[in-house]
Amino acid sequence: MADATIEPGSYRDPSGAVYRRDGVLLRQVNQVFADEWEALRASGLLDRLTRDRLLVTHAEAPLEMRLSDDAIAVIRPEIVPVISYPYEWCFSQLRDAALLTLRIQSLALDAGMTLKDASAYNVQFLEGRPILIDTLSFERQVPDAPWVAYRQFCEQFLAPLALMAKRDVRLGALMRSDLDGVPLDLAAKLLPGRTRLDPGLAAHIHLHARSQRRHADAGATATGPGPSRRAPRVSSTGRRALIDNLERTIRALEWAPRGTEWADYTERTNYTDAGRSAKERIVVEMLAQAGGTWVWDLGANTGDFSRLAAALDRRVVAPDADPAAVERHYRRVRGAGETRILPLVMDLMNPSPASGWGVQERASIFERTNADVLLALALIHHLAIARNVPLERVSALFASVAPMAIVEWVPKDDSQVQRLLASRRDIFPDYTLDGFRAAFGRHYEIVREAPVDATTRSLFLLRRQP
Amino acid sequence: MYLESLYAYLDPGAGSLIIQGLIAAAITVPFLLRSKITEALRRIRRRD
Repeated sequence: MADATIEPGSYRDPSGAVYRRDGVLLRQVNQVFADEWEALRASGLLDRLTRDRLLVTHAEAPLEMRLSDDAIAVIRPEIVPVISYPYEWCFSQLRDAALLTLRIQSLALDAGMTLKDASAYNVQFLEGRPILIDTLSFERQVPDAPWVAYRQFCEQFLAPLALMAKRDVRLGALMRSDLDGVPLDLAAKLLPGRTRLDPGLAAHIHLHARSQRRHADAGATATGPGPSRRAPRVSSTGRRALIDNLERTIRALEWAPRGTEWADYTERTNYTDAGRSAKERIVVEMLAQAGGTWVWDLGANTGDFSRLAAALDRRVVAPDADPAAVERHYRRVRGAGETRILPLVMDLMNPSPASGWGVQERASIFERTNADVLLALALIHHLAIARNVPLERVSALFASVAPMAIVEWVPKDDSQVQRLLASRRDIFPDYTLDGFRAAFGRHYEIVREAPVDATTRSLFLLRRQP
Repeated sequence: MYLESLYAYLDPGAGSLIIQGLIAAAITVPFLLRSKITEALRRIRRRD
């Protein structure tokens, strides 16, 4: 049997581990979790959650596929094709993931179980909806015991959502700098003072942060072995009230995506109706010609062209740097029940890096990219002119990510480029159609070049050189 | 119940457990009242 490779992010929970063997994703259940696993299976909770598509399904796998000798079971979880992280989600994606976690905790309590962690990284987006991916996140509910994942829920969901809604949506990026979430004392400092008048935020963030500070040395004051401090009792009704209150607090958090340059970009492009129709027709033709399953629509904005790809039954990942544009896109996707598009917040100038333990716990965006085709429409000039990235570097990056690319060339006399150059010196002598062909020719062969009617722009279908 | 007896691979945090107990105690009665009222309204609507 081939050696197993442990998933780098799977090391914190002693209940089991996720690994790959012979290319198959597996999850081992450890002996230490045997009683909880039996209780979980007997509770009916797994069936309920998988039936409602709140938890990924799994199949039993032979024990011979185990990772180590302390395995009592091996399961093969349903595959999530694109792994995304909370700092790549827009406000509503993180909010939906939070509400999913609370819904699951509520159902778990019904079944006599509880979530033993509430990590945002245990939620992924599959077919347009958030879904829990950690089957071993449950344990039996001890009577009168508090929810051990309460702090984690507040740090990984409530605090970033409150900051995004009440202070600035860009503060969602704090999740990238601290994988354990936003420390509550930091959230309390950053939130506007008026949030102290909001009962939910006052309790779960401000008082919570103060309590953490006050009891920070609870363990350190213990003398000798043995219990140092009693945990409070929380009745079953109290636990339900807590989940209900957290849900109300989360639902009350709202953010309207407006006021950024990009959220309204589609309405402010310089395309005429004829030019836009011509562009759409060519993009559809090129997508059909390019083939493949996965399209990454870079700078997707609110997803007009992502939808064209989805209509061709492609699976689309739609990153954009602007949280407002991604928010609008996600709301459209969710409202339409679209299952083939995953909008993400990502700045191509500063993509998600690898991070965490050993710089491996969370993979960089490019380690998670599964693109067959890149779409880069109305993007080149923003990279080359607004951000000074040489065309050759753009070409090299695209070629490292996907074997096919559809790239829109936006010439210097285009009004959008002129707008970018209005306040700066033109230091881009190589930003010409010939310069574009030369730069991309180093990494690609040009399969098709098509001028877009009623514009000065062109679309290129490119195939990566072998 | 002692902190040490709670099985948790992650640190629930003493301050977090204490404030959770206090919050739960404070919101239980309003929660129960709201649940009862909601249930009563549901029954009345069903009867109509």
